[in-house]
Formats: sequence, structure tokens, C-alpha cells
Amino acid sequence: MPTDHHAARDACVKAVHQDVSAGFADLLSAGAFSLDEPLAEIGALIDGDWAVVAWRFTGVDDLTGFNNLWPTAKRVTVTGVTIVDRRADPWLFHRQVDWNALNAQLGSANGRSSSPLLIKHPDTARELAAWEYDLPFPRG
Amino acid sequence: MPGMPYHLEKGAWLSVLEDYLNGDPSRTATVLALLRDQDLPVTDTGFLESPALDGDPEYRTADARQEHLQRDWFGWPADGTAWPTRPTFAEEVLALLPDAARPALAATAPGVDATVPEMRAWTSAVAPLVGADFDGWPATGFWHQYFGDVEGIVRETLIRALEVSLGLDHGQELPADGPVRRLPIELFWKCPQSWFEGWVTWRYDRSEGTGQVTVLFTTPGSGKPILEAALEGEGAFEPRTSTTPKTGPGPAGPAPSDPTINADQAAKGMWVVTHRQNLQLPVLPSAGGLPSGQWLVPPFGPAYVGVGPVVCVQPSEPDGGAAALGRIYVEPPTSTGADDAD
Repeated sequence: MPTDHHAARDACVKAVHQDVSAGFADLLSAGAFSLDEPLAEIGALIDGDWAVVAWRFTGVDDLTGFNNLWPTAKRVTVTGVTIVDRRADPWLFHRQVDWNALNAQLGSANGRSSSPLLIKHPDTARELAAWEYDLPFPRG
Repeated sequence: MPGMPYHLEKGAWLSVLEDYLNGDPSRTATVLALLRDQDLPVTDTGFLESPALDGDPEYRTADARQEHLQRDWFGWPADGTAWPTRPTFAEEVLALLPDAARPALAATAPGVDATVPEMRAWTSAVAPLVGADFDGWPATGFWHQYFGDVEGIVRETLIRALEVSLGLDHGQELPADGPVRRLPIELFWKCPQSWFEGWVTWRYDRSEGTGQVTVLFTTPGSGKPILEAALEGEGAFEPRTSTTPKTGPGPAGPAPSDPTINADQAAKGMWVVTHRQNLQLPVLPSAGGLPSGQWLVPPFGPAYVGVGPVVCVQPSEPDGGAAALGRIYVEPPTSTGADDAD
């Protein structure tokens, strides 16, 4: 038999489902929302005015393209955790999305970092960091 | 040059530009003079007007080609702002800020002559104040997460390439009796990388008077995907030969030059033209809580702004550059029978 707590969980899951689907509506076609681990079974973790929902959204990158990239026609899965602020009216959604994993699925990682100075050995980076951030060098 | 499905491109545009630079010797000298004229847009130096480019289905006219280079490569505003008036990086940032944040930041906005510490301090002050409409740092043209003087880099790269080709020191006028040599110039566009560079490399055989200048424009991405399967390119195939069944003349490059009159020219060279520093911009804060359906996809990866003037740098050989005389291959010592027996 449904309880108030169950109903609250369902409402949060439904709200996040709608929010995520709307967020990706212009980006991913044939989208499918699902709950993600470790909260898939309970749906939403609720504490007072706050609720947490872990989710994943799978769809095809054949619409406008992410972040000024052309669409790739790849099926991708975006995962995230949404913290719902239920104090606000309407509710506010704080989304922690694994954009790096999406970027990797789109194939747009290029595998090099940059540094303002010449680094040929890790010790050079440690020395530069020590100078920049007042850290001990050499490290103990 | 709208974008390529491969990591390296020559295409029709750079092929025509090559021939424009390599063909008629007097034209080469004229192009160098036009490029050196800082009051003339790079897009007005001639090659875009060639009907040889009319076959590009997206840019059939000189006007369309000029507009594409000006807007997508060099970042001229689409509102018809006349060259060379382009918004600075700080002006573009300020235009995207909430009204309340603008006055204080406008007062300290760095100009085109800003130093790296000035730009770093200003962008660090901007980052926490951006609003929900600020979905990334401004970019030049269609370059991804990069802002810089692309026109200046392209101009300086072509000037340097022509000077090397003609055996001129930088800024040196052509001798009245003509250049000491003309090396053919080859052009490529390579992407993606984090910021915009022009590479000028060359080889010159002192004994034969032959050589080549190879230019690579190495750039950020333009957003167009790279083909994961090279054979999926339009008309791509697996070649078996470098010969062609097609007949007719191809573009003609300069003939070998006289080694006796330019003996001091370096056999090898490798220069890079870019901003004095490419400064990584602060990561923008997350948007925080937003109402349902209102999303902001953040930029993926770092963004950079070119700071300081466009410079031409010669990397050392240990850092991957080329020594002036190259390096002569030395045969390894031949092994003795006694060693083999061990």
C-alpha cells in the first residue's frame, strides 16, 4: 500500500524524469530515462526538503549537437545525480552530470594537457606547483 | 575552408592558394607586399576571387568565400562591422554578463595589449559573476573554445612562408634583381588542438638548389566530426600508385634555384606562429539550481585566449624543432663475426 513517503519518492522521480527529458529534448532523440545505481531500487533518497535521484538517460546524438559540436549519430548514455530543492516553488534542480563521460562517448577527448612552463619530468611540475601554491618542495 | 572529416586537410581552397603563391613569380612578390600591409584584410589579398574555387557548392562566389573566412575563421562580427574593428575578448565577455556585474568589470577590462597576469586576474574576477546565460567563454569564429587573433596568425604565417621561400630575412625587401631563390610552398590544415598556430617548416638541399616550404595551420576544432573510418570519406579509396590516369597539366611550382647565390640558407627549419601565450581560462562555475527543463550544458574541456602579440618562434631540436643543418644519418658500425658468435 503506498505511503506518503512512497508518494513523495514517486513525485521526485517523476519530476527529475521530466526535467532530464526536457533538458535533453533538443540534443538526444529516442531518449530513454531510467534510475541509476545505487538508488535505482528506492528511486529517490529524501531528507526533509531535499531529494536525491541518480539517473541515466540514453539517446541518439542526431539533433542540434552538444556544445557547438556537430551531431555524431552515436547512441550515448548520460549519467547524473540530481539534488531537488523542494523548498522552492517551483522546485529547483541541482544536476551533477558526468559530462566527461559524455565527452568521451562523443570522441572529443584529445589527450594532452597544457602548462605555462616547460615540463619534461614530473619533478618540474612539482617544483612549479610549489612555487605557485606555496607547497613544500621536495615533497616529504 | 569550411571543415574537414579528417585530421589533415588540403582541399580545394589550400590547393588554389598554393598555386597562387607558387605560380607567377611577380604575383608571389605582390602577395607578400599585400600581406605585409597591415591595413589590408587578409581576405583582400586575392586568391579568394579565383573562379577555380567556384566549384565549392557552399561558397560559389568570391563574396561568399570572403564572408566565410572573415566570419568563421577570423571572427568578424556577423553584423557587418567593418574591418579591422572587431570586439576584443573583454568586450565580448562584457556583452554576455548580467547588467549588474558589467560596470565594475568594464572598468578593469583588459585591452588587446593586456599582459598575462592582467588577463588572468580579470577572467578570474569574471568567472564567479557570470549568469545563467553565459554558456562558455567567447570564441573567435567557429573555433571551439578559443579566442585569438586568427587573422594575425594566418597573415604572419603566410608572410614567413613566403620569406623563407624567397630567401628573405623577415621584413627584408625583395632585391631589385629578384629573389635569390623560390621554393615551392605546400599548405595543410590540421585540427583539432587547443589553440591556433601556423607552422612554417622547410628543407633546402644546398647542393641541388631544391627544397620545399611546408605550412601547417594547426587549429582548434570547428565542431565538425572526424571520420572514424577513413574510407567513408566522399570519393575516398585505397590507392595503389601515386600515378594518375588523368591527363593535362597540374600546377607548376618554381624550378630549382641556384645554390651558388644563396648558400647561407638553412637546410632545415621549423617555426611556429601563435600568440605569445595561450592562457587557459578559468572553469566556469556550475549553474546551481535551475527550474525544471532549464538546462545549461557546460563547455567540454578547457578554453583558451591568446594573449600578447603574434610571435614567430623557433623551437629547439631537443623540443622537437629542426636543426639548421638537419642531422646526417650515420651508418651503425658493422658487427664483427666474433660478436655474432657470442
